[in-house]
Amino acid sequence: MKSRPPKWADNFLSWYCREDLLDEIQGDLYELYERESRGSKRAANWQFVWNVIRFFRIKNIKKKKPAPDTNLVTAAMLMNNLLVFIRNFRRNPGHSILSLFGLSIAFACTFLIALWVINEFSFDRFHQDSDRLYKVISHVDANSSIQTEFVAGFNINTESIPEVEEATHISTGSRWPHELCFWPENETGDCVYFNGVYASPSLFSTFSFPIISGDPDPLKDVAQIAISESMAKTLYGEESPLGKIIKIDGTKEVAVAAIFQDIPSQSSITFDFALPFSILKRQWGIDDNALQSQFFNVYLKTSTQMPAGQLSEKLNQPTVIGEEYLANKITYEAVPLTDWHLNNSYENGKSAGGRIEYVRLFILIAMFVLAMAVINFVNLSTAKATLRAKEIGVRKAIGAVKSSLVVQFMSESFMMVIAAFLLGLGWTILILPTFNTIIDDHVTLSLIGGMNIVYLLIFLVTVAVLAGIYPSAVLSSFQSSEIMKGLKNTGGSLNIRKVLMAVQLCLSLGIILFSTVIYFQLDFIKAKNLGFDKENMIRVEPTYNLLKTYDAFKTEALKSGVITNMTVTNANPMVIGSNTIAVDWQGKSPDSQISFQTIGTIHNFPEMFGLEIQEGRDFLPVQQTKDSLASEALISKTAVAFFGFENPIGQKIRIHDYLDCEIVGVVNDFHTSSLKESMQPVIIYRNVITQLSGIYVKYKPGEAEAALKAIAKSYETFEPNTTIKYWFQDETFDSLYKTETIASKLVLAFSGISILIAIIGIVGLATFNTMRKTKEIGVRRVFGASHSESLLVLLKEFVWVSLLAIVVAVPLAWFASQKWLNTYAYRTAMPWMAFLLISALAVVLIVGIIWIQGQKTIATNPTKSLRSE
Amino acid sequence: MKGSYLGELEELILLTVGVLFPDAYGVAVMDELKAQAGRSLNISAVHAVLTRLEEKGYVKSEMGQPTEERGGRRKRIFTLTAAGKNVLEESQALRNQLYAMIPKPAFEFKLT
Repeated sequence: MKSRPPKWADNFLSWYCREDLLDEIQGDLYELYERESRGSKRAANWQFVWNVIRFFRIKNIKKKKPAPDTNLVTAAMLMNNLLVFIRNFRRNPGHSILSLFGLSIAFACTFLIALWVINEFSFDRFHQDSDRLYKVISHVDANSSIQTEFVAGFNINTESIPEVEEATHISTGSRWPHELCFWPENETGDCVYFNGVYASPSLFSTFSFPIISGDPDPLKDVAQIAISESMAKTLYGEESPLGKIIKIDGTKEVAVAAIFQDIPSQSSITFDFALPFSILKRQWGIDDNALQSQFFNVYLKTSTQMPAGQLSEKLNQPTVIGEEYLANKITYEAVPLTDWHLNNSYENGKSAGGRIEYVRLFILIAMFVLAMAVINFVNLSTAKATLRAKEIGVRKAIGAVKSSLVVQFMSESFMMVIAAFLLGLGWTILILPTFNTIIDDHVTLSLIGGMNIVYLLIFLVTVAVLAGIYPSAVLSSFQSSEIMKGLKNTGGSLNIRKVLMAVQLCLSLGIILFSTVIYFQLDFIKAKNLGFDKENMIRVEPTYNLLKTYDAFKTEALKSGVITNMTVTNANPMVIGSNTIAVDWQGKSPDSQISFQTIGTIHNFPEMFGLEIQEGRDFLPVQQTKDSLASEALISKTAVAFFGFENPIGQKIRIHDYLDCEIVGVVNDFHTSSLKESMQPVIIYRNVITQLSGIYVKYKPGEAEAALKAIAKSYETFEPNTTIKYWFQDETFDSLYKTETIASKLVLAFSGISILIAIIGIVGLATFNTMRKTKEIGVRRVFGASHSESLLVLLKEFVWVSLLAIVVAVPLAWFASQKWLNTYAYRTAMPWMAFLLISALAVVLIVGIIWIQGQKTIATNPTKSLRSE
Repeated sequence: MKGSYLGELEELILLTVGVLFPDAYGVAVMDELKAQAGRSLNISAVHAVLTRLEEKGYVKSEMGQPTEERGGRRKRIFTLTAAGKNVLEESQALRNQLYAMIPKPAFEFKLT
C-alpha cells in the first residue's frame, strides 16, 4: 500500500498555505515524501513534518480574505432572520411549540433547583463575619465507635487562644425551658408558645442579628429578655414593648430590653427570644458549678479567617478543653459555620455529608433534565432542517456564505432559548408557591441578584450555543447543488440524532428508576414495624402542676370515653435522641463506653406502647415514690447482648451515677431513631412522675378530633394558666423522614417532567421520521406490504435506540440507588419487578407513540403519498 | 526595482533553471543542485529563492501537468527570461573579464 504523509501536518499545510502556492508546495512535498518513504517511513514522516514547518513563512501564509462588499451581519439581515424564524414557527407550529415547551419546562426545573441550591448555600452567610465564625462540636470516643455531639462544654476556655475574639454559648431546645408560653398583653385568650435561647452576652455581637430598638447589649447577665419583631407584635401589638415586664413561667420577672429583627430563614440558629444564662440557672435550679459542666452549642469568632483544622488543634490543648474531658476521650472540632447547614452528618467521628448529598442529587437532576431538553431541541431542529433544505439551498445559491448561515441558525437558536427562558420564568413564578409548600421553605426569585445574574446570562448563552451549534453546523454545510437536485445528505446527522435520543432516554429512565427506589424505601419505612405502637397517640407537653395532679388528670380524661390510656415518659420512644454512656453494672469493663438510650417512665409504658415482655415480668403497677429511687428497669433484647448478661433478670444497673435499678424483664427491640441507624440498646426505667416530661395519650381509632377536645378540656381544668401544647405521634414520625419525603416528592415531580420531555422528543422524532419515510412506505404498500410490516419500518430505528438506552440506564440506576439505600440500616429489597415493569412500559410507550404517529401515513392511499411532489 | 544584484545562491539556482530546461521545478532544482554543486538545501529555501528570482523578473513560471507521484498536484515550471539570460551573461562576462585581469605571476605557485 502506498504510504501517506502524516495527515495532520498535511492539513496544517493546506490550512495556512496560500491557495495559489498550495499546489506546487504540496506537490513538491508529496514527491519528496514518496521518494523518502521508499526507505524509512518514519524518517519520511519526520522529513515531511519538518518541511511543512519550514514552509510556514510569511510569504506562504494565506492573507485574510478581503472583506465582502457588505457587512456579514446587518440589521436588515437580522430582521430577515427574525422574519424567517417567525414564518417557520407559523408554518410548523407543532414542532416549534414542542421544542419551545420542552425547553421552557426544563428551564423552569433548572431555575427552581438553582433557587433551592442557592438558598441552601446561602445559609448562615448573612452574618457580616460569616467567614470567621465556627461551630464547636465534640467527638466522644466510645471504644467501639465515635459519637459526635453538636455541642461543647460550657467550661471551654477559649481565652487562652489569642485568635479567638468571641465565644458564644447558646442553649437551644424544642421544649421547656426553651419553648415557653407568653401571654399577649391586651388579650385574655390563650397564651402563645415561642421558642427561644439562653445565650452568652456576646450573642448579638458575634452574629449579625440586628437589634432594632433597645439595649444593644441586652444579655448582660441581668433579668432582661430580647424578643423578635414578630413576637413583639404578637404580644404587644403596635405598642412599644421596651421596659415591659414578662414573667417567665409565671415566676421569674424579666424586662424586655431589646427587639431584634426576625431571624432570616437562612439561619441555622433560630429563636424568637433570647435570655441570659442566669435565667437558665434559675429555671433548672442549678448553680454556677453545675452550669460549667453542661454542654451547649458553642460558636467562636476568630480575629482572622483560619483553617478549621488549625483551630480544632488549639481547642484540644489541655488548657482549653480541660484535663477531665481529655481523660474522657472527648475531642473538640471547629467547623466553619457556613459549612454547617449542608454538612452536619457525622459517622464515627468523620463528616459524612448531610444535606449536601441532596443538593448534589438535585443539581445532577437539573443537569439531566436540561440536557434532555437541549437534546430535544437539537434533534428537532436538525430534523426540521431537512424540511428546510430548500431554503438553505436557495440562500446558498444566491450567495449566502457559510458563516452567514451559521449566524442565521445561531440567532434562531438564541431566539428560541430566549423565548423558552421567558416562558420558563413564567412557569417558575407560577410553580414557586407549590414548590415552596413541597420543600417547606420560602425560596424567592429575589435570591437571584448580583453575580448570579452574570451566571444566568452565561448559562443562557451556553445553552443557546450548545443547542444551536450542531444544527447550524449541519444545516450550513448542505451543498446547494445537492439540495437542488434533491439529494439530501442527512445520513450522518441521523446517527447523531439516534445517539442523542439514546442518551435522552437513558437519562429519563435513570431518573424514573431512581425515584421508584426512593418511593419504595419510603413505603418500606412507613410499613416497617417499629416494634412499638405509634398510631392513635397524642403527646402533650405537661407542666409541673399537671404532673403533680397526674392521677386526677388521667381519671378526668378517661371519663370522656374516647381516651383509652395515658402514660408519662421523659423521652419520645420514637426519637430518644440523646444517648448516655453513664450506665454501670457489675462486670462492666473499665474502658467500656457503650452508649445506651434510656427512657424514664411509669408503670404502664409497655402496655401503652404495645411492647412485648419476652422474659421476666412487666413493671409492678404500684406508684413510684421519690424516696424509693431504687427502681425497676426493663431492657431491650439488643441491650441484653450489649450488657453481656447470661441471665439479665435480677441484675442491678446504675444509670446516670445515681439511679439504681433492678432489671425485671426484657422487651422486644424497637427503633428509637431514624431507620438509617441500626437498633440501639434501650433501658426503660421507672421514675417519679414529676421528673418526666411528656404525657402520651392514646385514643380510639378515628376519634382524633374528639380525643383532642377531651384532652384539652381536662387540661384546662387542671392547668388553667397555660394553653395546651400537643403533637400527634404519627406526625412526629413523618417529620423524622421529612428530608426523604421532600426529596421523594421532588424527584417524583422531576421524573414526571423528564418523562414529559422524553415524550416530546420521541413525538418530534417520530413525526419527522414518518415524514421522511412517507414515500418508502408508499412504495412498500404498492408492492403489497401489510399494515404491520409498514409499521415495522418505522419502528426499526427506534427499537435499537430504546433497547440500548434501557441496557445502559438500568444498571446505572441500580448502582446509584443501591448506594443511596446503603445509607439506611434498614432498607427495602431492590424492586427489580418495578425496574422490569418500567423498562417494559418505556418500550410500550415508545412503540405506542410511533404507532399513533405512523398510523396516518400508513393508512393513506399510496397513490397520494407517491404523487406528492 | 530590486536591483540587478544577484546573490551566489540565486545565481546557482538561476543557472540550474537554465540547465533543467524545460523541466525546472522545485524538487528538480533541489536535486540538481545537490548533484552538481553538492549543496543540500531545504525545499522551502529553493522555493523562496525561485520566488525571489521571479519577482526580480529573471525567471517566469507556469503551471505544468499533475503527476501521480505528486498526489495529483501540478508542478510550477520555471523558465529563464531574457532578463535572466542577460544577468547570467553579465555575471559570466564580469567573471571572465576579472579573471583575465589577474596577472600571470599570481598563478605561479612555487614551493617556498
